[in-house]
Amino acid sequence: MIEVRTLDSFAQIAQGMNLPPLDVTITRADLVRYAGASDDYVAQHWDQQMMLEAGFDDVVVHGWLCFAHMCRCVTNWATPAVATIVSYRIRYLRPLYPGQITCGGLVEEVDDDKAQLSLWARNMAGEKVTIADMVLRPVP
Amino acid sequence: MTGHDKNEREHEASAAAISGTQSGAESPKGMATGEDHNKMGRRTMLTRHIETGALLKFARATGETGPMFTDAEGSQWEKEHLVAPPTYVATFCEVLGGVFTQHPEYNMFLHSADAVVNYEPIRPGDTITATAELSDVVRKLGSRGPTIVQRGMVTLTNQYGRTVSTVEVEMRSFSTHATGSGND
Repeated sequence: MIEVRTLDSFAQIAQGMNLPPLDVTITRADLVRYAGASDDYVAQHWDQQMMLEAGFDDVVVHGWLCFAHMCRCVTNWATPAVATIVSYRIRYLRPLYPGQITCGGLVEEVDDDKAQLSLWARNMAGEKVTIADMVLRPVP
Repeated sequence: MTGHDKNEREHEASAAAISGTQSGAESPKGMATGEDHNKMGRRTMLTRHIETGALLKFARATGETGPMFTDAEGSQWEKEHLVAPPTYVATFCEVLGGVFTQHPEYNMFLHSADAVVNYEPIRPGDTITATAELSDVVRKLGSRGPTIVQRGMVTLTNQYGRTVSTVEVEMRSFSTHATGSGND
C-alpha cells in the first residue's frame, strides 16, 4: 500500500494505508519540559533513584507524552486542515524509558464521514509500548 | 488479521495482563470492597482560564509545529486562530487526584489506559471546568501481586456550558516490594 506523506484531502484516505512513521528521541529534558507544560509532577517521571529502587530501569516517560507524538504522526499526515481527531482509546503496554521511539499507524476503515486508525509506538528494542485506536472526521 | 484486530487483541491481552487473569474476568476476590464503593460517584472539580501562553508551552513540550497549534497571531492559519493540541486534555487529569485513593500498602501507581471523546476544540480565552468522578475500583490478584485498578471520568465543560471533551483514565496501584516494575 502506498504511503502518502501529507494528505491534500480526506478523500485520499484509503483502507490499508500506512501512516508515515515518525521517529522521536525523548530526553530527560523533554520530560521536565512536559512536566511543566502539563502540571504533571508525579515522581515516576523524574525521581530516578526511587524508580531504580522500585525495580524499574529508569524514570518512565509520561504516557500522554508518548501518545502526543503518536498524534503528531497522525497530524503530520492528515493535518488539522484535512481531518479532526474525534476520539481515541490508548493502552500503555509496558514502561517507556527515555530514548528513541518510532510511531506509526494504519487506516483500518474509512468512509465519507470518518476514518478509523490503529496506532502504535515502539521502543528502541522494537517492542510496542503504547497502542491506540483513533477516529478522524473530515473538516467541512 | 488486520492491524485493528491485532490492536484489539493487544488491548484485551493487556487488560488481562493488568488483571492477572487468563480471561480478564474478575474473581470474587477481585471485587471492590465496601470502602471502595463508598467512594464511587465522588466528584471533584477545577476551573482554568485558558491562556495563549499555556497552549504554546504545551505545543512546544509535545513537539507540535503545526500553525493551528503554534501560530498565536493566526497569520499562517487562515481558518481559525490557535487551538489546543490534541492531548491538551491531559493537563486537566490532575483533578482525578481528588477522587483516586493513594493506598499506603501500595508504593507504586502507574497510568494504564485512557479513552477520550472530543466535541469542541479548546481555545485561548475559554474557561474550562473539569469535573472528575470515580467510576470504578477493582481489586485483583495480578501478576505483580495485589493490584487496585481505579477508573475515573473527567468531563470538560466550557464557559457556555457545553461539553468539550470527556477523558476516561485508568490507574493501577501495586507494590514493587514484592513483584518488580509495571507499565505506564
